[in-house]
Amino acid sequence: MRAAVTKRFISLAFLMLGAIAAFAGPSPTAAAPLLYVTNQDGASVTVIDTATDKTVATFPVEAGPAVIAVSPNADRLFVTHPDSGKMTVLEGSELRTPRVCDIGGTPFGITATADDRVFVSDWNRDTVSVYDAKTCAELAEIKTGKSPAHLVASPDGTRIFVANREGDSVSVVDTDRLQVLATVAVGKAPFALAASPKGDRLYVANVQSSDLTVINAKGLQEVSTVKMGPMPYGVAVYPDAERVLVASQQGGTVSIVDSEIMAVVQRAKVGRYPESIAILPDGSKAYVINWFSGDISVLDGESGEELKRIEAGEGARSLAIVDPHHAAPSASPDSVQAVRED
Amino acid sequence: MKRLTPYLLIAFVLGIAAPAAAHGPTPKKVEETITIDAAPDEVWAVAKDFAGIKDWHPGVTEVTSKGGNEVDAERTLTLENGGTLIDSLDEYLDDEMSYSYRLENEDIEHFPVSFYSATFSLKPADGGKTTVDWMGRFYRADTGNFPSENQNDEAAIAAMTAYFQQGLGGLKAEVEGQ
Repeated sequence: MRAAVTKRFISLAFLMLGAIAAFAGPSPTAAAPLLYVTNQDGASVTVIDTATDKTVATFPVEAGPAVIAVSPNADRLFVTHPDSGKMTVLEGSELRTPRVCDIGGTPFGITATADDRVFVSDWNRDTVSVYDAKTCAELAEIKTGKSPAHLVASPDGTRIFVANREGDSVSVVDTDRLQVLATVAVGKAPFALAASPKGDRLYVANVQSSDLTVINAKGLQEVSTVKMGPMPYGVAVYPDAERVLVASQQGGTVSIVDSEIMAVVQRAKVGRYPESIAILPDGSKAYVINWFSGDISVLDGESGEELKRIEAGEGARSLAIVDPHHAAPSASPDSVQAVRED
Repeated sequence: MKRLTPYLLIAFVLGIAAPAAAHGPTPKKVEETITIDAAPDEVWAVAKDFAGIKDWHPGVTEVTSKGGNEVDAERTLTLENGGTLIDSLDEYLDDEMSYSYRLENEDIEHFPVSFYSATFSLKPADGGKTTVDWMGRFYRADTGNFPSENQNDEAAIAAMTAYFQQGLGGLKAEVEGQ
């Protein structure tokens, strides 16, 4: 009896802590964000706890998972499978329950908006298709430039930016009208791109011209072009927008770009052939997938130095950070707690 | 375009099914190494020039080049089977005895890879020897979802592996004077 009461009290205390954390932002005792990584050859997704930087789970998905993206409410993850024309939606309190949608074509880049829509590029069809995240019903198909690769939503969800790798351009999609608003010329072979947290800037990494095109994301003019290390493949913007990380695949490095002076201020050595990058919501650490080495470099967010390497699965390709504190206010405390209990 | 009905749009899109693009579904990797009985300096003296590959790679019969060992230099290779590949230099690190390059112009009839990036590097090995490491990341010739067996992942892996092995064997023979 006494034990039960104590247990109930502890549960209640945890619930309250969870609720406080959910609204008050990160604190040392609260759950840390989780990193979800696709293993393209291993047909699995690995979950890493960013508090300990250790793998807490690996679960199977459909073959050939390429790009993974999280919804703005952190209630779903989306994974593309280009080889089989499928999209997996990961749901449930732990975001590990797969729902496989047969969407056809060669889906690759993927991003979601807060109104439960998901946007998927197809590099062979030169399109971005729009789906209802709950049902996978196709809502629209939008013609883009040639060979669209990654795409990203503006933070307010009003626009989608699509990197057209063979088109040397970015297609800007209006998410209300579901039409291309504008096409902005960038460097040669843009592959990855990232928007600043306030949505005022877009950073586009051009693989073949080895530079970063900086675009005014509202007015859609080019602001600057910054020379990068060879073959830039991944881009991420710090939460305070002051710095941008760019992975150089050929160089085995990550460049730190100062967004004020638009120049590389530092280079960090990472593993071989780095690809995707993500930064924690508090900016304290960054994660870089080293595709060839099959591991993940953990970088100190402040100094940019490599802290450690985490073993990754076969063909580790893409990563998404799920922050329980970024969940929408309507998210139930259960989901917050469930994630924390990992 | 904007006023096309969805059906027309779909028909239009299907009608111009795009040819294979240079970025494909699943990148593949190959890494080959060989140990050469000579100091790194001696091996580098033979292998350092981006355009000098013909001197030691038995599968390369002719090279024309421009730009030397500077970034963006190009080498046009004629393969023993008659194929032509154009490589573009991305990074050249003389101090580290390493260079990285990528395929600028493919020839999938003769070399079933639509795109590769590769790094060639030397490292000191025990006993004053040298380990040469050649690694590549690449996509198959046909990046669509239904490649023929001449243009699938297996064909691409086989071609890259054979090319690296043949080159490293040739370099070893050249340096060791066999």
